Order: sequence, then structure tokens, then C-alpha cells
Amino acid sequence: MCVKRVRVSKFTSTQQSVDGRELWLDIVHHDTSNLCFEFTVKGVSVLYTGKEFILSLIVIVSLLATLDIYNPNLCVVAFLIFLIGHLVAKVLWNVNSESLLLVAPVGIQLTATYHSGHQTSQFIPWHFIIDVVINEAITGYRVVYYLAVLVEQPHHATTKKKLIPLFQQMFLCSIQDHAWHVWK
Amino acid sequence: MLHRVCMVSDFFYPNMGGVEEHIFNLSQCLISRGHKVIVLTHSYGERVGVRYMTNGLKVFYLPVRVFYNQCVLPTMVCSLPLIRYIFIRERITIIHGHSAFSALAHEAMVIGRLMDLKTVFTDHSLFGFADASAIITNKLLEISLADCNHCICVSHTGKENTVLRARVHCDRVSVIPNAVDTAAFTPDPSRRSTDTITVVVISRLVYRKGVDLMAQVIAEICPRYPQLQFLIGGDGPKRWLLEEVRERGGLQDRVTLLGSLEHSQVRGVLTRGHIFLNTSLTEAYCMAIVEAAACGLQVVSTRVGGIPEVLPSELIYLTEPNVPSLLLGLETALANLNSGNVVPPWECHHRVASLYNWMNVAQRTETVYHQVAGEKTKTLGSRLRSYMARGVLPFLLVVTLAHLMLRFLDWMVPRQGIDIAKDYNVTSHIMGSSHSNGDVHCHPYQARKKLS
Repeated sequence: MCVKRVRVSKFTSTQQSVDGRELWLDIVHHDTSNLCFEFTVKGVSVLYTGKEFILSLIVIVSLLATLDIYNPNLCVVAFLIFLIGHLVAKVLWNVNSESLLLVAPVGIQLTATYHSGHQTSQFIPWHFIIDVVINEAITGYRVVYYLAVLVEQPHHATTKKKLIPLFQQMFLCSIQDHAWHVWK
Repeated sequence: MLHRVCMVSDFFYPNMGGVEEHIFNLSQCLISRGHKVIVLTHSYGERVGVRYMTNGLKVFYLPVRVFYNQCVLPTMVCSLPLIRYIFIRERITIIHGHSAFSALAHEAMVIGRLMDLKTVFTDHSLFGFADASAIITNKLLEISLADCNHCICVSHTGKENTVLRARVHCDRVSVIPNAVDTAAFTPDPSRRSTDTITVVVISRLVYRKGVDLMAQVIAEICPRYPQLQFLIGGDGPKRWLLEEVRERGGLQDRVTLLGSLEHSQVRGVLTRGHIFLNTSLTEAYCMAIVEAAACGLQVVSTRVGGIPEVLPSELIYLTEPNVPSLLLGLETALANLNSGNVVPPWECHHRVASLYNWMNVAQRTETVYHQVAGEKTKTLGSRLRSYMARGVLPFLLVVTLAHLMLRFLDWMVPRQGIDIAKDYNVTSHIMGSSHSNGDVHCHPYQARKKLS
């Protein structure tokens, strides 16, 4: 029972994600022994003032203004639909915070909370976990470091070993320094 | 002064070839001298992302689609955001492009120059002047090298060729030959057969390696010398020609086609032979003959391109690139072998080892880097003027577009937001492993690297 919630540390706004957003890291000890932790990464919401959002709005407005309603250019219309769809997707499915609930030796649960309040979660049993690694990947136009859990599933049909990335939506800047603080 | 170098080329591991080996060996030697080196190349099948090779050589397999012959589409701006990101992330100071055929190298060099980084280019091939493809490629090379800080060629013939076809001023071109890993290529006379004489050929079976000449030579010389055996390693589109010769002459037991070889298997095949045959029609610098000489084989080769500069005259028999001359060369080599008038294998090896080693190449390349790092950065205006002097004005538009995209990206994805990558610390890794084991832990690459 979470009688005593001890807030160990709270990192302040000096932490920046790779997108330039501010991130807050919360660490909660759910019991007095070091067996139950919850790490939450919250992004300060800058969606509506972010560069990408404003730029997309400007492009959409200018395309709409120059669009000829009675004789529309198919390419322009397709591009416009793509942009508007992308914008709507970002608004609806923007990840507000992600949390990692660690209960030794039961397992790890990853929860992502969206802007609309909707939550998705994924659970990894303890005995499947082999190791936690920091890996580097090329995503789109960036190269980022991300935290991942090396998992072995002996009874799975096809994939015996998997790498499950944590905190997929929020990429922390200078992750190695923070990871050292967090996992000490 | 330590530099942070980015080697860029379309051609890298797992593709095997001279350029790939050059990049790898040079990078390893530069790392051992303390510089930081990363490699940028395109993805090979499933191999995408960041990989680490020996001694922490970081290789970026970029997710760019391959267009033709292991090259990417030669747009100058499509991978711009990603390449810029990588340069800032790894704090690169010098960009070293390899191979004139590599579109990725040219793209990265254009982007790097606009970001005020220094660029060096190494040209590995000779090229003609006459046909349409040559004219176009030469022009592309000319405009790409118009603003390059320095150019390196692998032989004096290569330097002549590059200076003429790309109109680079000869002061900006240096000659640094390739080298061979003499610790790996050592002779082993016990593996040679005593009753037959084996001629080894290892090359890609393409037109420019003279496969037609090779096939005719085999067809003509086999009936004359019954104790001759041919061992052919390598694969390619012209393989059918050799198989046809084999069938027609009934030479199934005398000509062995080994197919494509792993680089680790090459030495094993070379040591089984007495003579190495090279029938290239054009070659800037032939790695294969140096490897063969390091393994103690006699070398018979066509006198083309930079080959005469590579080995001293006692170690090589040079012929003209036609069948009668090649036959004469082979017969001379056979006669010398039978009479015992040959340089002993180990002496051959020691001579090659004294002439070529990778640390020497790395040292000379480092000198080029020092010189290049000291040069002043040019303004955008002077860069555009040097491009304009080449006469291809539409390229100015491409460069301007790239410049504008870089300015836009500086606003959109600012440099402060880009995570700086940690460097792989070679010395701490090696010291750590030697202490943890108690006894002396020999790092595998260090054991192979003999600093002759």
C-alpha cells in the first residue's frame, strides 16, 4: 500500500528534449525498500507555439489562399490534405507524459499518456529482461540516443530476442548523464 | 593537433574492394594515432543505422536508397538535414571523401563546405576523356573539386589524370599510395604444390579487369604447358567467358573457378600459387599485385595506368595489354621459375613490407590534414565564384539552394538542441581490458598491426 510516497528528486527545466521542449523528470519511491520505483517524463506542452506547428499553419493558410476552388491542382490538394492530416494527428496523438513503473521482481510497465487523457501501456515480465542498454539510432533526419530493454522471449513463435525502446516519444538530451543519475 | 575526420563514400563494408579496404585501414591507423574517425555510407540491405567496428570506428549506414551500382542518386540536397545533423553531433572538422563515382561523397563535401568545414578528396581511379560518360563524369568531378581544399591521388599517373580531367591545380594534389597489410599477407611456400605450377588470378570478373585477355591466354597456354594449373578467384558478369573456355578446351581439372572470395580467404588462395596474373585494361593502383608480392608470388601484369609505379622491376613482369605479350610474359616467368632465377618468397615479402605500410600512409594523410586545417575559410561569395569559373551555372543554383536549406535548418533544428555524441575512448578500453584480465591482454587488431 502506498502509505508513504517519497519524492526523491525532481529535475527542473534545464532538461531539454531533442525537439527543444522542456522535460520534467519525476522519481517516486512507492515503498521504503528500493524495490518499487516510478519514473515519469513529462513534456511541457509547447505544441501550439512550436516552430513546426506554426510553420505548417502558415504553409496551409498560404496554400488555401492561392488555391483555385473551381479548378484545383491535384498535387496541391493532395499535399494540403497530407499537411492538415499530419497536423490533426499531432494534436490528437500528442504524448504528454510517459512513465515507467518498476516493480522488482514482477516487471516493468511503460505507460504513455496522450493529450486527450487516453493512455496506452505495455508490460514486460521481470524474468524476460536481460539488460538495459543505451542505443543510438537514425530516425528521420536525426540521430538519437534512446534507452532500451533487452528482452528474451523463449516461448515466442518468431522473435526470441527483442530490444524494446523506452520513452519513445520524448528523446532526452544528454541521456547518458541523466541515466547515470537515475540508475545509481 | 588531433582532428575529427569523417570518411564519406558509397563504398564500404560489407562491400569488398580496394576503396573499402583503403578507408578501413586508413581509419584504423588514424584512430591509433589519436584522431577521431567516423564513416558515412549508405545502407546495405538490412544493415541500417549506427554500427561500431574495431577500435570504436563508428559507421553510419544512412537510410538512403541505392540507385545503381551501389551508388545513391546524385541529388545534392536530399540527405542534407541528416548529414548536417551528423556533422554537428560528432563535431566533425574535416570531411574526407573517397572515390569519384560516389555521389554520397560529393554531396557530403558540398554540404560540409557550406558549413565551413574543411574537405579532402581521394581519387582511386583513372578515367578516360573520349566517350560521353567520361565527359559527363569528368565535368561533375571538376565542379565538385572546384572548391575542395585538397586532393589525394594514389599514384603519379593518377595525379596526372586527375589534374587533367578535373582541372585541379597541381599544388592542391598530393600523391599518397595505398598500402597493404603485410602482417596478414605472408608467404607460405609449403602450401604450394611441388609437381604443378599454379597461376593465381584474383579479381572481379568485369570487362575492365581484362577477362577477355585472361580467357584467351588460358586457352592458348594450357595446351603448351601441361604442368600449368589456373586458380581463379572472384566473380562477376564475365564469369561465363571463363567457363566457356574451360568447357571448350576440356580444362576442367586444370582451371578452377573459386567464385567470390571473402577477404579473409584471399591470402589462403594466394599462398597456393607460384605466379600471379593481372590482366587489367586500366588501373590507377593495383592492390592485388602488392598483396600477391607480399605473399611471395611472382607477378605478371599488363603495363597500364599506375601499375609500373607500384612494384620494383625485379618483382614484376610487365607486358602490353594484348594476348601475345601476355603469353610472352607468362612464359618468361615460367622459365625463370623452372631455372630458379626468382626472388625468394620471404625476401619479396620483406621488400614489399619496407615499401608499403599503412602507418606511413596515415602519417602522410595527417600532414595533409594539418595543412588543410590551417587554411582560411572562404566566404560564400568566393565559393560561388570558384564554382562559376567552371562554367556550369545551374550548379550555382544547387549550391545556393543547399545554403538556404542550411540556414533554414539552423533556425528549425538549432545547434544547441543537437545532442553531442560521446567519443569512443580507445586507450581506456584497451587499458581496462588489460587490467581486468591480470595477464597481458593482446587486442586482436594490435597483434596484427606490425609497424614496420
